[in-house]
Amino acid sequence: MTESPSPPMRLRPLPIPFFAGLLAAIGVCTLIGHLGHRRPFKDFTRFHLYVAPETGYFPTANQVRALGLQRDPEKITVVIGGNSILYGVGQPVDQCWANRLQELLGPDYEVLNLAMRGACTYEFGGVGAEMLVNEGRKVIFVSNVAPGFAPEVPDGYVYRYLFWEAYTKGLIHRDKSQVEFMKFRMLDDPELQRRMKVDRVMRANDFWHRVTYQHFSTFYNFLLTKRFPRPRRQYKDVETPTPPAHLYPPAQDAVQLMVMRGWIDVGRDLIGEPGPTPCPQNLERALRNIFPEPLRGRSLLVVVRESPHYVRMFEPAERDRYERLFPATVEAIEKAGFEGLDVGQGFSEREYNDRCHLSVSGGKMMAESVAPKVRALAAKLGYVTDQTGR
Amino acid sequence: MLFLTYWFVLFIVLSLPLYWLVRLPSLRLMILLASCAVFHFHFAGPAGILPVVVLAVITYLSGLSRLKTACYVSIVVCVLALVFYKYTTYLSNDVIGVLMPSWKPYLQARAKELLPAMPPLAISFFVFEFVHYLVDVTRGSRPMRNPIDFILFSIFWPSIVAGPVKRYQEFLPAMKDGVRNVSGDDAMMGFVRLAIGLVKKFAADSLTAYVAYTAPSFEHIDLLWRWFVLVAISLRILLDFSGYSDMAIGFARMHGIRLQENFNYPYLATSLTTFWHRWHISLSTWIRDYVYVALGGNRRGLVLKMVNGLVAFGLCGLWHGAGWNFLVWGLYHGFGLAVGSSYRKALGPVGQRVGNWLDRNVVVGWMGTMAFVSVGWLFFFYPLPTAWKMLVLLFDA
Repeated sequence: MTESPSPPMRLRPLPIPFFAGLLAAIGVCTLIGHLGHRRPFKDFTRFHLYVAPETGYFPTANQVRALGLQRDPEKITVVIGGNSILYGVGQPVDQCWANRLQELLGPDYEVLNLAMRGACTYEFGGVGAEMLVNEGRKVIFVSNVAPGFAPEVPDGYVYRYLFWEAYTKGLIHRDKSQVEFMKFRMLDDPELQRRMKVDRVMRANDFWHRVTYQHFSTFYNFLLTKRFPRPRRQYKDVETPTPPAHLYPPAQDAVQLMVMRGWIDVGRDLIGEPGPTPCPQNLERALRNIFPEPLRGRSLLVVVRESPHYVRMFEPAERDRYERLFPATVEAIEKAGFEGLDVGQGFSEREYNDRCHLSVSGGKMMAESVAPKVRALAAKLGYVTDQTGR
Repeated sequence: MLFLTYWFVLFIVLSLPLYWLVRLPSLRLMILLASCAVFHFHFAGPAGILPVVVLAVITYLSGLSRLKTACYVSIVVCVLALVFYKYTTYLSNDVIGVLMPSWKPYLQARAKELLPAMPPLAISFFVFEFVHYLVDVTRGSRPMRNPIDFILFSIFWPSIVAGPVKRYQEFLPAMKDGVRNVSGDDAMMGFVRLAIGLVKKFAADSLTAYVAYTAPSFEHIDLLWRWFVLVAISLRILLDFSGYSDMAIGFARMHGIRLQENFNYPYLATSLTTFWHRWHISLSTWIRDYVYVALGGNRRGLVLKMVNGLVAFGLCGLWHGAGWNFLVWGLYHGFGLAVGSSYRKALGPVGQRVGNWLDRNVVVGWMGTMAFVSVGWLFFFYPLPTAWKMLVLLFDA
């Protein structure tokens, strides 16, 4: 007995407006996502807590790129990357080291602070810098490296979404050798890959982040408290220095020293003291694998020393190894084709908020070391005709 | 939350239009079958597929044979499989391990060797559906002869992960009607239901984040705030659970298949009995039909009625999770139901007067029911010592 075909799905008049409306709504949201990132942030200084992943806000690649493109194309854009040290944790926004750097560099430069708490050397800020290089801008990228160590993951950890978003949307590129290297990272999180491919068309991330920044937020986060529906543009950068009474709590000494000993262990090949087990990384190779070729020659990588409060707790032999680590790291950075800078020699405890984050005065001193290197690099790159970089 | 993965988005964008565009019902059925298999294979993995295949084959063949012995043996196998995958760790650590501590390390080591990292996907749901099927066949219902019908009943993807728990006598006609007559209205109503479910899920996520942040400092917040947190906990589970059901029902409706409703405004219930007529309806009716009634229900006097209710709800609690707190939650509701359904008779004229007064003052009944249910959620979500402490703090300014 043959089966009679049922009619194709019947679309009576009632559902047609519904589906038309549904498609129109998706279309409008997608369009807003495509267009709505042009002027993403009002009075941007840095990605403070309330416009950062800690509160569920993940700045998109288009937003970061738009931030950079808002800079004067005739000027040299100094993109700051790296982690909380260069972000300026413990430095109020109006006293952040990036402000001092801008003052020192003068009107021919525009400093853009894209450093993010917990980011690796290239992570987030490097993606921003690379996108601007690809737009033909004059870019100098300043980031930081831990003593003797840089995680060899091209996309990073906390902010890896930004790398893949930019890569999937064609805003950054990789040559063949690096694509092979990245494949294992792609396999690590196939759901992230799918998300980025869908978002390349739908632009849901751009849409949602625009709405959340400009109009209203849609989910609770304990840092946002009960006023979480407020648009993120209403939140302020509330970074404050550590109160003096809380500086260097003794209960933390063991943990901090353990971290510092970890640097010595990881960087032992650099200081010529290979141990019984192979060193976990080769810093030169790691930096070359993390950074794309166009950005290497444009980058200044700083290694920031840690507070003498803890360094003094080392035994003399250990302290000697620790101290040798910094120039050795700079040497490895420069061998890898970057500009390197050792920051913090001669800093006192007052220049620090804790083991590694600089205070306002420490930030100013860092800016004073970084500015001449930036100018020299600008001259080397031919961004300026004056050899002093002005 | 499987419905909120990008893999699933791509899956639905490909499978649904294909299902809609095809004209032959038999072809639609094949597409539905293929999509259920792909869904289950992707999320369960090969190791997770094997238990459901084995149990399904056993259940199907036993049902076909209509032999009571075969059916009863299959029921035992299904239940043992559920106990093995879901309760081995609990039994070895928290039951046998407590009664006989010297056995604990051995049992833990054996459990670690034998158990997979996660129980097979949806094992609680498909075991319940297999048990229902076998019991109904032994009671005279016709078995499913067509293996495709049985497979679809077993792994129908919209409902397999978190319900509703299906009854094959309702599902099969609904499925056949859906593949034959799916319409634009079905797609539209399905989308609307899906949207409602999504909104509920996202609201539940915010409440979950709020509760996760606030609950640890329960003893440091003031009394009013503690009750507010309790309300948030109660709302959170309703929105989370009913939201998921809405999405499942919505996706099924997009296929033209109507699943039973699972929630019916449970927080409007004015008694615990009506609460359980409105909350997770498919599960509560399953517990009633296959545990409570099987034990004798209310046919053997008041005392046995209460005992049967306690056993049924104790098992209901344990079904939700392998832990003492779930058992206590179930017994708590079982006790409440036993009292609520028998106080009129047990207390004579006084009980009748109280019952009549509550019938006239529904707000009081509602408030009492909500307070009882909300407090119960403390046992559902938190280890017993923490739940007890929170309960005490609710009455300690």
